[in-house]
Amino acid sequence: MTTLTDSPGRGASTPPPAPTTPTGGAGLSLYRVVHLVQVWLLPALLVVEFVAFSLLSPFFLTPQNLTNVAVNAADLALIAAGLTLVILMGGIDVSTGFAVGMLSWVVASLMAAGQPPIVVFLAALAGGAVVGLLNGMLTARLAIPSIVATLGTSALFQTGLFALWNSRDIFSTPVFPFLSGGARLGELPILVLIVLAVYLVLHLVLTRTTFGRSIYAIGSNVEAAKLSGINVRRVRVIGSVILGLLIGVAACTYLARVGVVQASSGGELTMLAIASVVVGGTSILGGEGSVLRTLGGVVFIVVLDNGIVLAGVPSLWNGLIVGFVILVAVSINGLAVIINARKKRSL
Amino acid sequence: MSDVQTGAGAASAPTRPDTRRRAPERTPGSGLKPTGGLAGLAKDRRVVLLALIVVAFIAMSLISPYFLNTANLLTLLQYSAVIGVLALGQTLVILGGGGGIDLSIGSTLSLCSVTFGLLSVGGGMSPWLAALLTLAVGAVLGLINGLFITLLRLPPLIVTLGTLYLYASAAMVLSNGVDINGFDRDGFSTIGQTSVAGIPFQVLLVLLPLFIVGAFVMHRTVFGRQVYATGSNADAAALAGVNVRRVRISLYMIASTLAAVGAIVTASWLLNARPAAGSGFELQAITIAVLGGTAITGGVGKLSGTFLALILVAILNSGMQLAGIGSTYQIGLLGLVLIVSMLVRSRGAVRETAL
Amino acid sequence: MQSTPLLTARGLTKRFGATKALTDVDFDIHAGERVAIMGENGAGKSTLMKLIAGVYTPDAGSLTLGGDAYAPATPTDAIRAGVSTVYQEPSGFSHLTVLENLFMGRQTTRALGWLDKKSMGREAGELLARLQLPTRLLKRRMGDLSLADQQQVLIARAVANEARVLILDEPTSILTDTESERLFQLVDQLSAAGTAVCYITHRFDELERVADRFVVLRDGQNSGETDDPDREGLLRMMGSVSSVTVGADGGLVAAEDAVPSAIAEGEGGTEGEGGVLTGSGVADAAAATSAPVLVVDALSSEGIFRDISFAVRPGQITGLYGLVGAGRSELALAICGELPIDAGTIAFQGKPYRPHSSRTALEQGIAYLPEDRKTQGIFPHLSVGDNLSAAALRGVSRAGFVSTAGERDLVATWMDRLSIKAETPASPITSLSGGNQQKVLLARLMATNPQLLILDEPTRGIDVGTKREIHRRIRELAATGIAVLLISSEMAELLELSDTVHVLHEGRLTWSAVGSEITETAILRAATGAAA
Repeated sequence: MTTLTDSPGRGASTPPPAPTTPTGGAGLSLYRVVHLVQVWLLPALLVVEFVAFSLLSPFFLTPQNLTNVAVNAADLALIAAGLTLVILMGGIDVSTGFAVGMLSWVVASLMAAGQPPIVVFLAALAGGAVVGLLNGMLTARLAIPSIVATLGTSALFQTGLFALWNSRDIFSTPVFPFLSGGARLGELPILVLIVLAVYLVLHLVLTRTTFGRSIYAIGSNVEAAKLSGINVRRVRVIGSVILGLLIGVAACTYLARVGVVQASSGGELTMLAIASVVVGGTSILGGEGSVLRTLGGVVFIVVLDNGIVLAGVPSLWNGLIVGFVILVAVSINGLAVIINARKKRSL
Repeated sequence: MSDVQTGAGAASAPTRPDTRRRAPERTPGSGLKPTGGLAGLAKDRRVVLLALIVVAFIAMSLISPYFLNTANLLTLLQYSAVIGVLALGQTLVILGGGGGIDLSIGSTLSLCSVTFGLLSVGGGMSPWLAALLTLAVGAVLGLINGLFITLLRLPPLIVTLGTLYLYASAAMVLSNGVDINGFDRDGFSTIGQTSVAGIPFQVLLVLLPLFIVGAFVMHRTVFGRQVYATGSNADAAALAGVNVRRVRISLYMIASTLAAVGAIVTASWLLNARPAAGSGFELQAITIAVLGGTAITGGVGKLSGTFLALILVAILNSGMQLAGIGSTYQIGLLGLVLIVSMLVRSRGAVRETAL
Repeated sequence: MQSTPLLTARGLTKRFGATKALTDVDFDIHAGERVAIMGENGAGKSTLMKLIAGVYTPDAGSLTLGGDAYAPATPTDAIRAGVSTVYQEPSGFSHLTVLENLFMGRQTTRALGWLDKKSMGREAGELLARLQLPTRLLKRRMGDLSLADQQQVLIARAVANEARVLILDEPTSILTDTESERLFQLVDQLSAAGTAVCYITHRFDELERVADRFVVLRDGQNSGETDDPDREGLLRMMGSVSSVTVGADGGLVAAEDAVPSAIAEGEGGTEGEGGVLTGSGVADAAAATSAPVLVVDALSSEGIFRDISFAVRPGQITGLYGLVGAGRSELALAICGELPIDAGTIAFQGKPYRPHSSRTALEQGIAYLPEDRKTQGIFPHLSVGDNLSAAALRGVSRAGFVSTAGERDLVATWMDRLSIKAETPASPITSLSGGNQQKVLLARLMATNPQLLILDEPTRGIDVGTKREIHRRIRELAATGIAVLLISSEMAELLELSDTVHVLHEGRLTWSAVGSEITETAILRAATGAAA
C-alpha cells in the first residue's frame, strides 16, 4: 500500500529509488505506455486466445462449443463475481470452493429427499448467506485478517462436506432443468443469460449505488472512508453476504454441471476464482477493478481450458499458461504503480 | 513472547532466557490495564498451545487405548515431518512482513518431487546427488518468487498464486502426469523408512534439526534479527542498515528450499515421485504457522510456536486416526482451532480498529 | 463579529495512554471568522481539530455548536452537524472520480440506494461553478489530478456537506504559490459566506493572508492568542523562540547542567577509557578549522531541494533550520541514500561519496536519526535490547552469528551511557517513554561508531527533563570528535547547540552563519523567506 500513497516525496518513508533516474517527460510517456498495456492486456489476450484456438481447432468457434464453455463456466463466474466485491475492499476469500462443495451436498440431498426445487434453491441461498455472514463477521466484526479467517472457514467447510458426504456419493438432477444449460432463449442458454444478468446487476450496483461507491472507497482508502462516514464494517459484511448468496447459486449450477457430490467437491474452484479476478485486473490491494473485468478473466480461464484440449495440447499445460498470465498481468500492474509513483514524486 | 496483539507488541528479546520472558511486564500501548502474571502467560501463544497439547493428549489417550503406546507416540510426528518443514518455511516468509506469504510451496514441493524423480530415474543419477540438485532447484523457484515480489513490489499473495499454478503445471508437464519411481537405490529409502533409536529418521534427522537450526538462526544470527526488524517496521529497518529486499528474497528462497526438502523426504518415504505430491499443502502450512502465533502482518512469531502447533496437529491426527475418525476431520478441527485462537487475540485488535 | 461564537470548546482534555495530548484547552470561533491554529509539531493542534471533527472523543471538557451542546461520536456526526475537515494525509479516494469523491458519504439516491447521477452531476456542476473550479474535473479520476486540485475537490466536498465550520489541516504544505493563492481565495469566499474556517499552518508568510486571529498551542495547552501576525511574538508563544537569546556556543544553557556525564569515552566502542570531557567549549578554533567530514556541493533532488552546498566539521554541531516543508529531512535522507540525488556531489572524509542506501551510509560512518520515531525509528514488536543493537549487530557477531555476551555488553554499555530507563533490556520498546525510546534510537546509531551523526528533530515530543539531557548528550558526542548535523524546528534548541547554522527555505539554502553571527532574527528572516 505504501507505494500507492499520494504524498509527493514529503514523507521520509519514500521507497528507495529504482535504478533508473527519473526524468519527468520520459516517466510520463512510459507511464502512458504501461497504463495502456495495463488496460488493454486482457482484451488483447482474449483476442489472441480466440484467434489462436480457432486456427488450431475448427470446432472451437462453433456456437455449440462456445455455449458449452459458457454453461460450464457458470459456477466459476458466479463465485468470481462475488469475490470481486470482497477483493475490491482489500479482502480475500479462500473458502469459496469448499463452501460450494458443502452447499452442493445440501442441495443434492434435498433434491434426493424430493423437496420442491424452489425450496431447495431457497435453502441454497440461505446456506450461502450463512457462509457469507460467517466470513463477514470473522473478518469485519472480529477483525481477523481475511486470509487467516477464510483459511479457517475453508477447513471447516471442507470437513463439513466430508462429514456430510460420509463415504456416499450423492447423484442428483439439476435443481431447475435450465441449470444444465439445455433450455435456451433464442440461441443462448438461459443459464448463461442469468449469469450475465448477475454481472450486469453487480456492475450497476458497483457503479451506480451508494453501496458500490462505498466498496471502492473502502478499498481505496479505508481511513478516509471511515472519516467520510461510511460504515465500513457493515459494508464489508454485506459484501461477504453477497458473495455467500452467489456461492449458494453456484452450488446449484455446480451440481447441475457435475451431477454428483463427492468428498472434495468444489475445492478446485477456490484458486480458480481468485485467479479469474486477478487476471481480470482487479487490484488485490483493493480499490481498483470491476466485475466486468472479472468476467473477462473468467472467460480467459475457461476458454483456455477448453481450447487447449481442442487444440490437442495436453491439458497439463493449462496451469502453466494461467500462472504465466497472472504473473504478466500483475507485473504490468506493478510497473504502472512504480512508474506512477515516480511521476508523482517528480511533480 | 509470541504475542500476536500486533501494535501493542510485547515481543521480547529472543536472546533472553525464558525465565525472564515470563516475568510480568508493564503493558505497553494505550489504555490497557496492566495484566497479571496469568494473563501475561495466556498472551503467549505457546502457553496456550502447550495447554491444548496436554488436553488433546489426555483426550486422545482416553479415546483410544493404543494412543499411549510408545511406538505410536514416537511415530506420531512421522506423518507431520513434511508438513512441518513446509510450515517452518511459511513461518519465516510471514515473519518477514510486507504481506509475506507463500501459496506456491505446495506446488514447489510437487515440482521438486518431479525434478528429483527425473534426475534420479530418467537421468540415472545417484538419488543422493539428485536430492542435492533438487535443493538447488527449490532455491531457484523461491528466487523467482522473491524477485517478483521485491523488485516489482507485487503483493506476495498474487505472485505466489501465479507460481502456484506455474509450478504445479510444470510438474505435470515434466512428468506427463504420471508418478515416477525406481529410485530406491544407494540406500535412499533410509530417510523415509528407517528409524534411529526408535525415532523415525525423517523426524530425528530432518525435522528436528531444521527447527533447531532455524530457531538458532532466528535468534542468534544477524540475519534472524534482520528478519524480525524487517517484519516489524520495514522503513525503520532500512534506515538501520538492513537490506530489506535481500532479506525478503532470502526468506522465499529458504521456504522453497525447505519445500524441496519436503519433496525429497516424501520421495524417500513413499518411494515414488508424484506430480501432485504437494497439492493443498500450502494452506495447511499457513494454518500451522498462524496457529503457532505468527502474526500474518509479520514481525511477531517464533519457530517454537510453529513447532508446538505442529505437535498439536500431529496429536490430533494420530488420535483421530486411532479413534477411527477420518483424516479430513483433522483439517476441520485445525480450522476451528485457528479461528478460536484468533478470536482470543482479536479483542484488543477489534478495539484498535474500531474508530 | 462580536456575536456569540459559532463553535466553542471548553476545557478539552485528551489522553493517549500515559501521554496527555491536550490539557484543558479552550477555543472559540465565530461564523465567518478565519482562525489560524499554530504550534510546533506535537503541540496538540491536530488532536484539538480531531476532537472537533469527531475523530476522537474528549476525556474531559465540552463543545457547543451554534449554541447547542455538540458531542460528535464519529466523523459522520460531525459532518452532519456541519463540521467538515480537509485532512492533510488521507486525502481522498484516488481510484474514484471527482464526482464520486464529492458525494462520498452523502450521495443523492433514489430508492434502494440507487444513485441519482444526473442530479448529483448537476449539483456538483453548480457547486464547482460557484467555487470557480473547472467543472470538467468531475469525470476525471481523483488520482490523476494534481495535489492542488485534489485538495480543492476535498474543500468543495466540505462545502457540499453544508459545512458551517471548515477545518483545514496544513492545506498549503503541498501547494505552490499560485495554487495557494487559489486556495486563499476559496477560503475568503467561504468565510464571506459565513463559514468559520479553522486553519492549521506552519507557514508564516501566509498568516496575514489566511487568518484574522491566531490561536497558539504549546505542549497541549493554550499558550495564547492574538490578532497581530507578528512572527516573533507568535514564535515566542509557540516556544520556538527562546525568551533569552543565547550565544552560539550554548554556554548559557550548558551552565545549567552542572555535572557533565562521563559518556565521552573513546569513540563509542566498548574499549577505550578516554578522559572525561566537558559538555561545552565545543566551538574551539581547532574544530572550526579542521577538515570537514562532509562536504555537500550543489546537491539537488528534483522537486524537493535545489543547489544545496555546505560542510560539516568534526567536533562541531551544524544546525539546519527550516520551516516544515523546507526540505530539511529530505536533504538528510538524500545524504543517507534514501532519496535520489539528481545533481551535485557529496564528499565524505575527503573522498567522493555516492550513497545507495542507509546501509552503505552506515558502513561509511554516517548515521541518521529519523524524524518520525514511530514510523521510521522503532521496531514496535521488539525489545529494547533488540531495538538498540539492530544497526550494530555485525560488530558483535562473527560469520553472521551474534555473540550473546557481546550483544549483552553492547546493550548494557549503551543503556548505561545514555541512562536509558527500562526495566530490563528485554522489556518491550513500547513500554518506554518517548524520551527513552529516542535515547534507544540514539544509542542504536552511536553503537555503529559513526563519524557523522545526522539528528532529525531529536527532541520532538519529549519531556523537558529528557530534552535537556539529550541536548547534553549531543554536546558530549560532538566533543568526542563526531560531526553532528542537527535538524531542528525548535529555535531554542538550535541556538543552544549549534556552532554553525544553515537555513533552508522552500528547498534552497538561504542563509548560513557561524558563531556569534547566529541570531534568532536572522534565522527567522531567512527561514520565512524574508531575507531573499
